[in-house]
Amino acid sequence: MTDLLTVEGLRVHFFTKSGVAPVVDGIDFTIGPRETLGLVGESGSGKTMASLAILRLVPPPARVVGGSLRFQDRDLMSLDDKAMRDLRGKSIAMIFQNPAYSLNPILTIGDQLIEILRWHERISATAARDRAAELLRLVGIADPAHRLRQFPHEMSGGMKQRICIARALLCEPALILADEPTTNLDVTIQAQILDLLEELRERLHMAMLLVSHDMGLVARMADRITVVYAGRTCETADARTIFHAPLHPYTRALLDSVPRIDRDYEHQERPVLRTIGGRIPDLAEPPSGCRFHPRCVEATAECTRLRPELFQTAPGHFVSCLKRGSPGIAV
Amino acid sequence: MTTLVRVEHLVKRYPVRRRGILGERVTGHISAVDDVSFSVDAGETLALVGESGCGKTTTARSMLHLVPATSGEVWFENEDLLSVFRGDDRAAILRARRCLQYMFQDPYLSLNPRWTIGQTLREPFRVHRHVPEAEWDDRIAVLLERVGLEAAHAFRYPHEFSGGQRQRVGIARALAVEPRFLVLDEPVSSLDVSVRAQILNLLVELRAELGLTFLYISHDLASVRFIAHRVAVMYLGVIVETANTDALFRRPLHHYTRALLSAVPVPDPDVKPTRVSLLGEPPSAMQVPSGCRFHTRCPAVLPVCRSVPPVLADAGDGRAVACHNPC
Repeated sequence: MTDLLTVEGLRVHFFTKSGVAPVVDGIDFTIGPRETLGLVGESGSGKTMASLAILRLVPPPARVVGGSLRFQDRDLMSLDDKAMRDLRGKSIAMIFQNPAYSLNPILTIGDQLIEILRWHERISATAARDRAAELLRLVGIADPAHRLRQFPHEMSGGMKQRICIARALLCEPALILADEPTTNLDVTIQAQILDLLEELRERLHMAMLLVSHDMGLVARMADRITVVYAGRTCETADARTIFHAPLHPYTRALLDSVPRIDRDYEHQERPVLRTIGGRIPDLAEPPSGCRFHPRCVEATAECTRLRPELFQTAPGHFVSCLKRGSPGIAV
Repeated sequence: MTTLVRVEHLVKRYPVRRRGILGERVTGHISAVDDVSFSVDAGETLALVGESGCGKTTTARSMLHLVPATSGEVWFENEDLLSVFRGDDRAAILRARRCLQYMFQDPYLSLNPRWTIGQTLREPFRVHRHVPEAEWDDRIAVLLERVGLEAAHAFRYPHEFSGGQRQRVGIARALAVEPRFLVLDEPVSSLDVSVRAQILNLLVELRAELGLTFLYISHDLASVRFIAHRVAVMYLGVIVETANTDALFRRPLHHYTRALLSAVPVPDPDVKPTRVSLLGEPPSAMQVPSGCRFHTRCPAVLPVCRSVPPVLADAGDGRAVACHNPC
């Protein structure tokens, strides 16, 4: 199977007055056709920057400074701006975290959807309007003709997120990037949106990059998972392996620290969650060697010196940890 | 167990005003909280759960008179709190305030950015004067250490702290007056996964060591299962079900509770829960459906549900449910 998207050694740095912060410093993953990859990490892990880098939308003062991005055998780093604009929304589309901010408040829903269609395709305004209405129906919006004439403020958060999904699907992209698509929604609405994404993914044969901090959401949606910490890939494997046989100490700690809705706690007098000591590092001064070493229970002296490389322990299972056999590079 | 806090028939209505050429007039009311009653035993943690707009925060704020309740009573042991708060006996109000404290949701908004942590923590002592002034600094140092910070942190400003540390400061501030009852309004929802676990552990530890009673407000049901002894589920301003935590999570009785629980994804790809999808979105609080408020979205609706509002009735095992046709 040839991969749809390959991200290798991606590096994004923030250039600020007080110095350079390597917020993404070696993230690697691949997405096959029709596959959903979950990109999991906490805030500051670089997961959002990595997804923006795929569309070359990294905002200043950040800049992509290294690595390779290949999509359908094209090098995304070397495409000119025109080719990149043609690709955005057409071959790769994005669903942003906050639907309220990603819709233009002074344009009707119809204007915003039709603009995208007419940018990418030679299509009449009437035909574009019909296509937009059809897509609104597809994402479960009743009375689409009326909705197309409305403005974003006339809709609820769940409705706006459906609009954003419809917008991403307009040109039937091969790949959807979904950055925390349900974070601001209530759980019952979140469930509706996830059902919708699952159904559309099957029907339209799309691949998806699902960026999230929510292990539950990723468990439900992803075929494979990449865990990132402080700008680097820790571990990549299929979803079952990540949840049942994780190798990286961070992956293990992350899974242990989540309270589980399917577990009894009450009968214990004082329930305790396993925690990860310390806190997320300040990337203006990242820890030397393995970036997780200050919080890692297994860390040894060499973890502070050597940077672990991604290493394949079993087919499709990659981990970057010196204790799991990763080669280390002196820095 | 003895009952520590008892809420009876609490109602909070907001007027809806419309501005016309003849000035403002009141055109209707929103019932944010509509006849809510519950009690919390000493040492117990009761979780108030529900989706945004269901009235859980308004309930808690009305209990402490942070928003004045329209009607209803709140009893703390044998004291009628709302009449104390409405009265003008300042000593009695301060005494009541020392019993119950409120911890706010957003650690970035609830600390004054221009004050050092020490200044913020002096404030409760300055207002309540329950400790001689000479001891304040020592008390603050003890408090900071109690919540897992260091005494030296008193000289720093909020921007120097991470979200988890600010939330610890929030806990320290609430504990400064030695309350017996603490309202925790979404204390962990803005925190990262690894930090969230640290704060949840801290809360459990404080509860055990200081004998605290919590009202834990959250939409994060996994953390509720971890911390709460009992759960009350709210929908559109009313309580639809209460039960002990494990009983509720194992077998919900109200169809809303069932849908809510089944909507939470489980962090295990092998668990494929039976999903109960709800149609549509919660109705606006300005147009509350007749009869059972949930009937517009309920998968098991009966004709009677459209006209007769169900009452919260005993369902055995210390549970109660407001439904004509429970699961």
